[in-house]
Amino acid sequence: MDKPFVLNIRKPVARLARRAIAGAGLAVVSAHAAFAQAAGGTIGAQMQTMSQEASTTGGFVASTAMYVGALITFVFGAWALWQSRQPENREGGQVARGLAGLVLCGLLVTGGAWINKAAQTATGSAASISSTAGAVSFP
Amino acid sequence: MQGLVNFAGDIGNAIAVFIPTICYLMALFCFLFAAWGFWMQTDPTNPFRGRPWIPLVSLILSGAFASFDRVLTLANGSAGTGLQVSIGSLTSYTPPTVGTVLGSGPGDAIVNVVALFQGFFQSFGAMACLFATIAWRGIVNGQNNRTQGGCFVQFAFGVMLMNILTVTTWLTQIFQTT
Repeated sequence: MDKPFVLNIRKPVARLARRAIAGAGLAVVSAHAAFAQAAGGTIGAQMQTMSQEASTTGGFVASTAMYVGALITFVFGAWALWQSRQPENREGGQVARGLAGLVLCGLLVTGGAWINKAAQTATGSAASISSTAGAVSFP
Repeated sequence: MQGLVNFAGDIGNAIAVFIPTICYLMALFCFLFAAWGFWMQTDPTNPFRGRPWIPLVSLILSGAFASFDRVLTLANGSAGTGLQVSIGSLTSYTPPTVGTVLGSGPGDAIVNVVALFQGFFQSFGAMACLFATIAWRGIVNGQNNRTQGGCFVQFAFGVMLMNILTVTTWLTQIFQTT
């Protein structure tokens, strides 16, 4: 019995896909090599590039998480307050949950300011580290 | 000798660049963890039941990570050296030039060699302090089995490494007979 047509084309397609992935991987590797040379060709110089990339990525991810978290806490907080006024709802703690949600919404929306306040509490000075990569120096 | 100094200095430079990035990411993570922890206080499945200080510690630690250079400066002040630590912009790094390291005696030679590798030692000490703080946070959260005393010792040795030249000078003075 002949094999189905789908099986006949699957192997070439998979082979093409593997080649495309391998090609993309090589492109990434060569791009990194070019980056390293542009950065100065040393471990420390390359670490500067990597650190900036990591800080930028982390900043974007955290901003997104704070934005989504603020939406979630606001919606669930408002919903909990609404539920607390329903006579058929016998679950306790809805008012506290609603208030916590609204307060946490504000906390997440102003996350950077709160980290700065925490820095004042912890060390008595403003936050000195930002999304721009830097280096520790010992004058 | 110059090659070894160059290599150690470059590794030290890489660590010096690595530390603020880790601090930035840890500050963001700790803040998000604290917010999540506060939110979970209102949930019946609160994983921090009976330990309400965990999100609060994370919130304060987010500030400590965001100004970690100040933490290191305060630690140096406690150590009595007053070494100021700061976060500067990214610059090119030039390793020290190896000259005559022998000096007038073995003690001078040791101090001169340590001075050549000081950049690496200081960066490594700062990294030891950073990872001691991260490990301490894990202990408070119940995520690892290390002891708080162990983290304190690691932090103290990190501070000693940041002040390696002072410590070395002091040690060589102890063992000098004249």
